Amino acid sequence: MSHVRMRGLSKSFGSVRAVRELNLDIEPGELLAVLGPSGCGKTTLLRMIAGFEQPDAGCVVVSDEVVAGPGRMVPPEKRKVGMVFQDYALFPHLTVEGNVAFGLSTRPREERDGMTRRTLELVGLQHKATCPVYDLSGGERQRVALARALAPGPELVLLDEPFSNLDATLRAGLRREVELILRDAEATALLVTHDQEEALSLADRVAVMREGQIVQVGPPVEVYGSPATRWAAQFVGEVNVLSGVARGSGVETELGVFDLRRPASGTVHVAVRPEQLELSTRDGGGNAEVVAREFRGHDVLYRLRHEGGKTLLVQLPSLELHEVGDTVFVRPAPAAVTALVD
Amino acid sequence: MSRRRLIWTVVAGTVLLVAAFVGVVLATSGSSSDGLVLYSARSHYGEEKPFEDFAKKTGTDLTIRGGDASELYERLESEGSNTPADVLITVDAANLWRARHAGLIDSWKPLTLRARTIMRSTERVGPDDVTTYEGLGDPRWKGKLCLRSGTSEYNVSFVADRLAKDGRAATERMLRRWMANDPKIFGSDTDVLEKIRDGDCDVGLTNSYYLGRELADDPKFPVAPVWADQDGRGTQVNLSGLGVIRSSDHNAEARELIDFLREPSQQEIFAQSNHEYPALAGVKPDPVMARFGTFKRDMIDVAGAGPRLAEALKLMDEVGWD
Amino acid sequence: MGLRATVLIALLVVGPLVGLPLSFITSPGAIDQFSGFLPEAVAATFWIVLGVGSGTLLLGTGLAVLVSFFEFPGRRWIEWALVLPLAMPGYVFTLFALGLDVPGIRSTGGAVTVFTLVLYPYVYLLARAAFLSQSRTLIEAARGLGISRARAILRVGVPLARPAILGGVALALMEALADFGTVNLLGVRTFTDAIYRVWFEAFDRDAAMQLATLLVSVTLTLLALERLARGRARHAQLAARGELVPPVRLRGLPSVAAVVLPLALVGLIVGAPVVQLAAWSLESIRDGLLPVEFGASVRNSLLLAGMSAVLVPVVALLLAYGARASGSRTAATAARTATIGYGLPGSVVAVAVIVPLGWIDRRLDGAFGTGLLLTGTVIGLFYAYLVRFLALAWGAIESSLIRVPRQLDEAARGLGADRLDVLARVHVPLLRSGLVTASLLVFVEVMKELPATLLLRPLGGDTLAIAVWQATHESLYRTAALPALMIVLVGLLPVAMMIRLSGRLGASEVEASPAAAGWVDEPEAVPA
Repeated sequence: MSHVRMRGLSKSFGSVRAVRELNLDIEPGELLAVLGPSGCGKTTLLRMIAGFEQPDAGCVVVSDEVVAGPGRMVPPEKRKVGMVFQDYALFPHLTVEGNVAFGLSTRPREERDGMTRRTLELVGLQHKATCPVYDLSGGERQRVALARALAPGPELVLLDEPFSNLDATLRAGLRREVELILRDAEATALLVTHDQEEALSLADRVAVMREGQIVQVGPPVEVYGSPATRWAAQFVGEVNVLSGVARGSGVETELGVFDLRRPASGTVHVAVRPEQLELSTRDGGGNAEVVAREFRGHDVLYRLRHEGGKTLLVQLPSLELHEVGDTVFVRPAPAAVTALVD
Repeated sequence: MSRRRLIWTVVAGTVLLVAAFVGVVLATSGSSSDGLVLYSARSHYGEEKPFEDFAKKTGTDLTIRGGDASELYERLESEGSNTPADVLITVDAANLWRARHAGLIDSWKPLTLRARTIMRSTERVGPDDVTTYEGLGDPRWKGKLCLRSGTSEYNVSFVADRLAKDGRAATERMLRRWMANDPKIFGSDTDVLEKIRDGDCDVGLTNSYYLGRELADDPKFPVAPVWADQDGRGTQVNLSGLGVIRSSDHNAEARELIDFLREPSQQEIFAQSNHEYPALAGVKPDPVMARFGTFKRDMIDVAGAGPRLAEALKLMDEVGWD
Repeated sequence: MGLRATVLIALLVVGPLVGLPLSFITSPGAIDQFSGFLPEAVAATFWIVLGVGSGTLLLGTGLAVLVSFFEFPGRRWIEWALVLPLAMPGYVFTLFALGLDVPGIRSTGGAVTVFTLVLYPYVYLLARAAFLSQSRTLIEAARGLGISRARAILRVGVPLARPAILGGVALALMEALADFGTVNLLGVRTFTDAIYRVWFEAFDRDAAMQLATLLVSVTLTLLALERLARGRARHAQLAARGELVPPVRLRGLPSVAAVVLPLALVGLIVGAPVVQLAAWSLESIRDGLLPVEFGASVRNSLLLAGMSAVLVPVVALLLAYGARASGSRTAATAARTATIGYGLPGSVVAVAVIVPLGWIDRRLDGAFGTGLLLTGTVIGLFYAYLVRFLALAWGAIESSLIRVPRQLDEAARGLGADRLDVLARVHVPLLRSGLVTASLLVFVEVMKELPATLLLRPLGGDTLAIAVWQATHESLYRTAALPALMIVLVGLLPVAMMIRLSGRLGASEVEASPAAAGWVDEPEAVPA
C-alpha cells in the first residue's frame, strides 16, 4: 500500500504536448481510474509512472521516493511498479507459473514457489500452473498478466486498458473479478481507460483527462453527477445541457424545474442526464416529437426534438415503448438533481 | 536461459572463435620462415615424386599452392613484394614470359616439354589424312573436329605462337577455317580424346601427354598422334617451366630445387609419370609415347608469343572459338 | 545508439559495392576491349531468365498445387522430399551430368535444365506456404459461381498466391544469374563467367568491375520488376482467413502418378547423383585419386563455414537489434540495404571487396609491415562471405525478432529485469530457433560457395568446393566426387532441420528460407 504523487508532470513528443503540468495523487490501497478519449495522454502518463518515458518536467513520487524528477530517473526495473499491458505481453516461451514467477527470480526458490502459488490462487488459476500460455483463453490470459504483475508485491499496479481486448459479454464479469483480486491483494492500482462504464463501475475515484490535463477527480458518483465542465459532462455519459434561471435550490428551465445540487442564482447552464427526464403521453398532446429510438435491452434511449428546437436525450426503462413519430410530453423526473456546468 | 549462463556462453564462444580464427589465419597465411613455397600450375597432376624426393633429401619443407596459371599470376601480381611464393611453376611458356615481363621472376628454366598436335582416330582416319594444322580446316572434317575450349591456356598460347610466327592474317584465316568445320568444344583435352574414341569426332588437337595417360590406362586406346607440319616448321612444342620469384627470401634454396629437378634422374621420373618429354637432352623417354617416334619440333617462341596472349584471346573470341 | 550501429554495419557491408560503378568514372572505357563479350553475355542472360523463370514457375507451382490441394498415399513424405534439391549445388549436379556424359548438356539449354531442377524448391516452398494459408471460403466462393474445382484452383488459388510465386521465381533467377560453377563448367558465357575471364585471363580489374556493375543492374532490374508485379497483387492476400481448403483424394492412376513422378524427380536430382558420387568416391579412394591436399580442404571448408556460421549471424543480430532499438525508419532501411549482397554473385562481391581491402593492406603494410593482412589471409574471404550472406542470417533472425514485441521487453523490465536479463531470459529463448536456422544456412552456403572463394582464398586456403571445381575442370570426375559428396551431405542437414522444425511445411520455411532475406517480402497471409 503506498501513496503515489505526481506534480507538474509534462511530456511532449515533437510539437505534440501529450501531458501538460499534470497533478494527481493516488491514495494507498485505492483503485484510481484515469478516464479520457484516445490521444488525451493517459497512456503517456502511465508510461511515465512506470519509467518507460522520461518526463520533460515535473516529478513522480512513489512512497516518498522520487522515481522521476529533475536530474533523477529511476529505470523501470528498479521501480516497484507492476504493469498489465493492453495485450498482456505474456512471455510465450514460459508456462503460466513461469510467467508469474518471472519477477521473483531474485528470491530463494522456496519463497518464490510459495509466492507464485499464492498469487495463482488469488487469480484462480492454480490448476493451470503448468499450461503454456498460448493454450489459454483471453480472460485467463488477462488473469495471468495480473498475477504476474502482482506476484512481486509492487507498490503500484498499472493497468493499460485491460478489458479492451475482451468480448463484451465477458467484460462485466471480468471487471468484477479483477476488482476483487486487486482488493484482496490490497494493491494500489491505476487503471487507464476510455470506457466510462468501466471507470465508473470499477474505480474508487475517477480522474477525467483531456488533452494532457486532469479535468476532474473524484468518486464516480461525483464525477457523473457533478461534472466539472461541459466537456466532462458530455464525455462521461450522455447529457442534455439546458439553460435556465437559478433560484436558490432550484433552477427553472424550459422543461420545468430541476433541483440543484448547490444553491445558485442567475442565468445558468445545467447538465441533465437522460435518466433525469421522463415522458408521458397526454391525449395526443406534448412538447416534443420522438425522432429516434435506441432499444438497449433493459432500457431505451429516445432522441426527441423539443418544440423549442432543442434535441433531447431521454433514457427510460423498457417497460413501455414509444414509437418514432409519437408526440410526447417531456418533463424532469422526480427528484432530479442537476449540477451547474459552464 | 539465466543471465549467468548467457555470459558464460558468450565468453566461452568468443574465446573459441578467436582461437579458431588465429589458428586458421596462421595456418593459411604467410610463409614459414624455412621451407619453400611453390606456386604451381602442375599441382593437379597429383603428388609428384621429384618434389617429395627433394623435400626428403634436403629436409626443406615444400608448400605447394596449386591453381590455374592465370590465377597464380594474378595472385603474384596482387601480392607484390609481400608474396610468400618462392618459385613459380607453369605448364605453358607464355605464362612464364608474362611473369618475366611483369618483373615477377628474373629468369626461368624449362622443366618438361609437351607437344600440342593433331590427334586422330586410328579406326577411321589414316596417318596421312591430315598432316598440318591448317589441314584441320579442311571441309572433310566438318562436324568431325573436336577442340578444347578457347579459353584454355594451351590453345591461347598456341594461337599466340602462330600470331608471332605467321602473322595475324594467316592465323585468322586458319582459325576461321577451323571454325567453319563446326568443331565440338569441350572443357578438357581428355574429353577431346574420349570423344574421338567414342566416334563423336575423328580429329582433334591436344597435348601429347594426355594421350600418354589414356594409353597408360588402356594400351588399346584407338587414338594416335599425327606430328603436325613435319614438312614445315614442325610440331609446336610448349614447355612447363619454373622461375625463382624475384622477391623471394629463399633464393638459394629455390635455385637448389630447380637444379635438382633438372637432374637426369628426376627428368626421367617426370617423363615417365606424366608422359611428357624431358627438357634435358639425352634422358630416356617415356615408353608409352616413345612408340610414336621422334619428330621435328617447333619450339614455342616465348618472347614472341608472350606479348600476343591478349591479342590471341581476342582473336579466338572474334572467330567464335568458345 | 541503435541507429548508429545499424548504419555503420550497413555502410561496412554495402560500401565496397559502391566502388563498382565508380570504376566507370576512374577508368572509363576499360570495358570497351571486352565489348565482344557483351552480346553473348546478354543473350545467355536472356535465355537463362526466360528458361529458368518459366521452368521453375511451372515445376515449382505445379508441385506445390499437387501437394497442397490433393491427398494421396505418402503425401506427407513427398511433401518434404521435394525440398531436398536445395541441398544440391548446381555445380555438383553439373559434375554428375558431365561425368555421365549426358548429351547436349554443354549448352545454354543444359544450364537452364540444371538450374530448373536445382532451383525449383524456392518457388515450391513459397507457393506452398501461400496455398496453405489460403482460406477455403475463397475457393468455395468461386465454385459457388459455377466453376469446377480444378479451374477454381487455377483461377483463384494460383493467382492469389502470385506474390509468393513471383518471389520464389525472383529468388531462383537471382541464384541462376549469380552462379559461376555451373555455367563455367558447361561453357555457357554469362556475365559471371565474363567477369572471371576478364579478371584472370586479361587481368583487367577495372573492366571486370564494370562488367560486375552491369550484372548488378540486371539483377536490380529483375528485382524491381518483381516488386512491381507483386505490389499490385498484395491486397489479395489480406482477405484470407478461416479454414484451409480440404484436399481432394486422388485415386487410381492419378494417385500413382502423384507418388511416382515427384519421387522420380527427387531421385534424379538428389538420389542418383549421391549414389554415383559415392561410387566414384570409392573408386578415387581405391585408386589414390583424391584431390591434392584433400585433408587441408576439408579442414578449411569446415573452419571457414563454422566460423562464418558464428560471425555472420552475430552481425545480423546486431543489425536487427540496432534497427529494433532505434525504431526509426532510417535504421530499418539501413538494415535492409545491408542485405543487398545476397542478390549479387560471389564473383561480384569478391571483385568489389578486394579493392578497398587491398588499399588498406598496402597502407597497413607501409606503416607497420604487416604484409598482406587482409587480402592474403582469410580475413578478406570472411568479409566477402559477410557481404554475401548477411541477408540470409538477417532474414531468419529478423523473423524471430519480430515475434518479440517491445512490450515484452517492457513487461520484463517492469518485473525487475535489467537489460542483460531481458536479453538472457526473454530474447535468447525466443530467438533460439532463428539463430540456429541462421547459423545452419550460413554454414551450408559457405561450404558451397565457389566464385568468391576462388578469387579471394589465401595460400593453403583451398576448400572442398574449389577441389570439386578444379577437378571437374580437368575432367577428373572421380577426383571431384568425394568433395562433392561431402558438400551435398552437409547441405542436407539444414534442409532436414528446417523440415523437422516446421512439422507440416508452412510459414516456417518462408521465414527460414532465403526468401526471408529481407530482399523479398513474404506473402502477407501467414497462418494465424
